[in-house]
Amino acid sequence: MSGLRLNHIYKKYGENNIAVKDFHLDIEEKEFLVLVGPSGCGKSTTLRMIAGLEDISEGELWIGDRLVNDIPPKDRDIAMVFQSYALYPHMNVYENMAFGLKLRKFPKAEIDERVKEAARILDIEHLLDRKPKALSGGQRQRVALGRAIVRNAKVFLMDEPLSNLDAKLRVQMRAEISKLHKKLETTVIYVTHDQTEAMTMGDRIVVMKLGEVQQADTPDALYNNPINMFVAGFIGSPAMNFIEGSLSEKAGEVVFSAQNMELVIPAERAQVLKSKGYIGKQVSLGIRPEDIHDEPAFIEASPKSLVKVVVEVAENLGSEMYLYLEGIGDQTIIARVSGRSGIKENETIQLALDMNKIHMFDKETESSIFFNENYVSK
Amino acid sequence: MKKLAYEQLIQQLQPFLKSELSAVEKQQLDRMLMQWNDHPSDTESLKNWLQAMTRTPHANLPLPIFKAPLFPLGENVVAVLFSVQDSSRTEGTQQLEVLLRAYFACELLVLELSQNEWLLLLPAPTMYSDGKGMIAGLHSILESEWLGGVRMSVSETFFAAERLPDMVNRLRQTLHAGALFAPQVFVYFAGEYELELWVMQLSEEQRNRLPGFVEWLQMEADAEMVLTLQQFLAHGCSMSETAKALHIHRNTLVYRLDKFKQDSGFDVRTFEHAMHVKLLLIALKLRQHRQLAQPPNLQR
Repeated sequence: MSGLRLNHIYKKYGENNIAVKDFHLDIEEKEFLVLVGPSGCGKSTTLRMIAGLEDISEGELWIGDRLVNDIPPKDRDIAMVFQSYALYPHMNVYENMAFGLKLRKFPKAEIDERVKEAARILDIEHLLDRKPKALSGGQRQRVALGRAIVRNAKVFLMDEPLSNLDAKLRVQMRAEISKLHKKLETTVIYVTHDQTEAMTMGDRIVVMKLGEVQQADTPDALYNNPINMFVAGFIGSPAMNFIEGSLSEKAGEVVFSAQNMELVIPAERAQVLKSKGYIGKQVSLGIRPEDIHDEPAFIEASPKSLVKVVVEVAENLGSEMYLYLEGIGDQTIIARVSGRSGIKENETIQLALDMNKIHMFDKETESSIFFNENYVSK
Repeated sequence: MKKLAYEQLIQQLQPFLKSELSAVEKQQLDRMLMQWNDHPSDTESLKNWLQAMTRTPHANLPLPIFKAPLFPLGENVVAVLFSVQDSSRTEGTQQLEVLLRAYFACELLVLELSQNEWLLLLPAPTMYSDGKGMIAGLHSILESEWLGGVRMSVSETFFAAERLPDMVNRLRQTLHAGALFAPQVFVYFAGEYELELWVMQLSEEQRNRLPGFVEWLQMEADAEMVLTLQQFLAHGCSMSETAKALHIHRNTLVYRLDKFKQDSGFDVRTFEHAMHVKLLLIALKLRQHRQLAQPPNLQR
């Protein structure tokens, strides 16, 4: 049993500096959990508390059925992979992978077996005689993973392991780490600031901000059912658009009004807004770039959610095009349309918002008004 | 060192002596041998001297006499000070030395300065290429193999015989400032925390006289605003880099800085105001951590 329970954990540096606040989560055995958030959000500190590299100021940490708050790192059955590879420059790949076991006085035959098995899993058998300086960044990171694998640990902790790699290699390595997780069948806790990495790798993602967990859920739930504006804006690239405006009732319909636009809210959602008392109040509307449409059929079918905008910049990526639009609210809005749409910069165009995909946030608390606690991930 | 029996030594020396030793000479030789055998090792002598020099302000003790030339003293070196919160979680000095020798594969000296503090002296050329990368790698190695949370401060190159005690003090101050101002960073390079050290040396009264709004910042600015300002200053006042680090839209950053300007009167997009706010943020942090605010030794 190698699940973890973080029971109301705090990390405090001094009286007023709280790096991690009330972190409470159960991590399933064999789960791939990603901690994500901007600089200073407490994700690495949480990982280091799990590793035993930082004391826990308050709360309990359970690994399996053991309370490990006071257990030294070496006895926690964990292996850690760092951003900086952590390789001995003067040893070859074999020696690098074997050294930790040698220090722990493992029999030579067992060391040999474990190193060769890890090398086979990572497909680096042909590199065993090479020294780190003769390896590429991706190969070095594989060796670093190998150093963790040979320990046969139940839990792998990875702290931004791909940050030193270039973009192309990062994409390749994240797929390899996911495959590795499936092969090894271990629990992985992975820290990153990159939401794309989080979305593509995690079974579950914990979004953190200023030391607090904002939401812990599947990638699908975070994307489609964010709990607040921070999560909505953090997850997704390009980020969700936010438009500030007010809600009113006109001719029996609930209308969202902002600069140069009026949008009719679909009946089901309008009912939620009414029942929660938001009519007459200021709110923020959120809409993802792919939910803004330029297709004539969609525009024709959506007469109550049309907006007229000026295309400031049009970035054509081939299969799709990002439009940076002026004319809605006071912020630039991004729309993702087909690369074949033929839209040009400085053009004034009409677009339609998919009102069934909108999000609505409380202006004061920034929490999602449509948040569904019973959301079922697809 | 093995104790040599007096008689055995005399026997070994005899062929080289012109005549038999007199009784007085024998006594003198005996006394010298006793002193020699009771004398601590060279490393131990250096450690004791270093501790005396760094613990007592303005100490000016002569270097001990060593039995043999001691590695770092005649050379340009880089010093690394390691500190752990709880030494019972680590694997001890002997294993630390094994790891360091395996990592650097060169002559080096490790001194256990106290239960939670070690000093590593390395020949300067070891660090010429990708010094910061090597140190980051070392930190990861120690945390994964030595198995404890480690903080490290790293010196620039210096001539060991002349500046060792000064450098140890400086590394201690840097480590203290680093742990206080950047607790989520674990490797601190000497010279990167000079401004913080300067503010730390001011008295509470002097700090309060820093013109501005420490009180206001403490009372009014929320954690998000303080983090925004810290990141903005840490990223060289670059709007795009700061927005990226905070994962916010550039317009959101502009809005926050405008709000800060409106509330405080400080426009951190100008150098003068940015420096002012940097000092005030340091002073604010010291106030929040009063119990940690005094570095161990500010004598230079």
